[in-house]
Amino acid sequence: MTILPARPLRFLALGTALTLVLAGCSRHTALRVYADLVPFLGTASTQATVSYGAGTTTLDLPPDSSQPKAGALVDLAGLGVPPDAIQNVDELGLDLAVAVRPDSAIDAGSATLYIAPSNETDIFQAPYAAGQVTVPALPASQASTVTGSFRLDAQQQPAALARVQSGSFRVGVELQASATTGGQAQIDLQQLVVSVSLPPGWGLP
Amino acid sequence: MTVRASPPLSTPRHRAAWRRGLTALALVLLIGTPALAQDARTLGMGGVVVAGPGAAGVNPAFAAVPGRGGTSLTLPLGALSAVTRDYWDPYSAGFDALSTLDQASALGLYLLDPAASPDRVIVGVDGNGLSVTFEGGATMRLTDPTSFDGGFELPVGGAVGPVRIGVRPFLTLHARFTPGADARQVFTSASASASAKLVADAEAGVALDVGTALPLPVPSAALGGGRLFVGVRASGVAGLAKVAADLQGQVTAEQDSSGAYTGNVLYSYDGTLSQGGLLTGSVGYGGMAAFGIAATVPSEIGTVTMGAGVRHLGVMIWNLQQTRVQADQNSSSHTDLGTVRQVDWAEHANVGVNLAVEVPSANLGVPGMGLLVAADGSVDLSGGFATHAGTELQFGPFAVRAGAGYQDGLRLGLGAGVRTGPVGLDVALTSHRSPFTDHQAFGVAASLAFGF
Repeated sequence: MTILPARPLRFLALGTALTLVLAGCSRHTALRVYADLVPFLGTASTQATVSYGAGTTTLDLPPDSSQPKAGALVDLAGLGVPPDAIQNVDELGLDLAVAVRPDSAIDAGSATLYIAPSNETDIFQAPYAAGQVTVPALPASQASTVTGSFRLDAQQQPAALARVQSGSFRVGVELQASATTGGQAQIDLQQLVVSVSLPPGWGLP
Repeated sequence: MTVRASPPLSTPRHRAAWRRGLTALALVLLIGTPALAQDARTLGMGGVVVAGPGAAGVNPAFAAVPGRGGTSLTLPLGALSAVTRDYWDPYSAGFDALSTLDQASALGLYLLDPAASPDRVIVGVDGNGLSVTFEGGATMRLTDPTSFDGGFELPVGGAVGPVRIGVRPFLTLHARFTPGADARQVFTSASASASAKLVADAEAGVALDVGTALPLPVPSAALGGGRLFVGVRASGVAGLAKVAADLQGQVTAEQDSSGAYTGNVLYSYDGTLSQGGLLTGSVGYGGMAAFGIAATVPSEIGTVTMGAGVRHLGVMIWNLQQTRVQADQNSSSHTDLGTVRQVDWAEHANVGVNLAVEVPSANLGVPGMGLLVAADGSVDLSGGFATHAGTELQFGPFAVRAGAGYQDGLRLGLGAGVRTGPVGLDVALTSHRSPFTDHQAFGVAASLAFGF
């Protein structure tokens, strides 16, 4: 799934970039660009029903039946972030909110952020893990909203940050928990916000 | 965090070149500012045009109206900022594009607090639309139509009997960016598209001005003891260079049949780019005219001066090489339209009215004191509107002033002046709205007056 193809959002960003020429071209001006990707996804990519078994189970986000392990492709140039500025990324953040309605209760678990090269077809591998947060227990037959905020740190995740600095990368989140009995879970991705912060002077040599 | 080494543009050679450019800019400002800027007396009264010979450029009839004339030389205080402030220098830590633009658009002022770029810009795209938030610094005006009008002229001339003749090199800049009403609604249920229009042009040339003003033989009793004046000024203009752009663009978020966004953004733009004059081996030509009428009428409180005038009335003819530029998300094209003869009729024609009341000391009951109250208003064909009101209280050789007006935003002024012999000095503290922002900037101006 490619959710930020280079050409489309680049021209959304163009108008913004033109506006920012004056506002941003100063040594003391920092920039934060964020995009909630959910409005740009069809419901096929934000809503899914997945099966899980008894014991430890995993749910991969965003759910995409055609490429279940590929995550989402993010193109920073498409967001209007200048290529040179990417090298000075101050912070990369990912905030998600997903409603999960399992058939049976699922115990508390974790959500792990994965960032992989853009040509990777299975991003949910240990070398690509870039952060983890805890997920509360999910009651049976009831929609619960799971939220998670990830922040990339240059010291802790230098490899992940380097992939971000390449300008094009794949991102996904894997929920991992255990269930006493298996069943199906309805997943509704409500928010998937990617944010990039650039330090003061980002637009100037 | 990885920090890339400084790119080649920040080499000492480039810095030196930039600083040489700054020095050249300062010299240009030193030469051009006196001719360009409003004088400190006017600024101290909120920008009001005071009916009288000093305002003959606005209304040719004022050249014949008795009153304060002479020459005013505005000191190029704005040019000092190129030396004293570092926001001009893109290689300095204090570089600020908004401050630079603000100061450059007010060359006769030394801005005390020019508009500053924000400390942080947050650009967001989500289901509620596109949002741009500024933290710190000046607030940008993003969805309002924004225009920029600037000019530079250096009139040189004198009077031959009742006729005034002059040569006036000029450079004018006009730009207007108009976002569509849908611009802020993009990506919401209200609108899936945003449009905008940009029209900009710059012209340079030389004008030969010939004008005269004279009193009409109207019976004094018909005006209550007052007098009526008319004036006319004609200008032949040689256009040395012109560049122009007229572009319309649109961005649309593609939706499927259910109304859901597909993730694709469609864009298109269409317009023409033009250039002419010496840039293409030709010269533009045309003529401009200004007409005015004025009256002075004595009243119980003092002398009332009224005037109405129209200026920049005329035509410019250019042979422009035009290129049509079109693009959408699938293709782009540049089509040479060849040389097109373009006739610009009264593009920046302006109509203005003025009113001034001078109250003599006898009516004020204070020896040596005089009071001037003035107001003006003007509209032009491009939709611009300005109005000002101000007052000046004179006591002996000294004067204090105050005024307010609207001209691309609120204008305020406070001022003072002193006259001694044929020389005078005026200073003003003034405020204007900085270009492209809501920031109200304050600046100081100073003018020398001669032969009033």
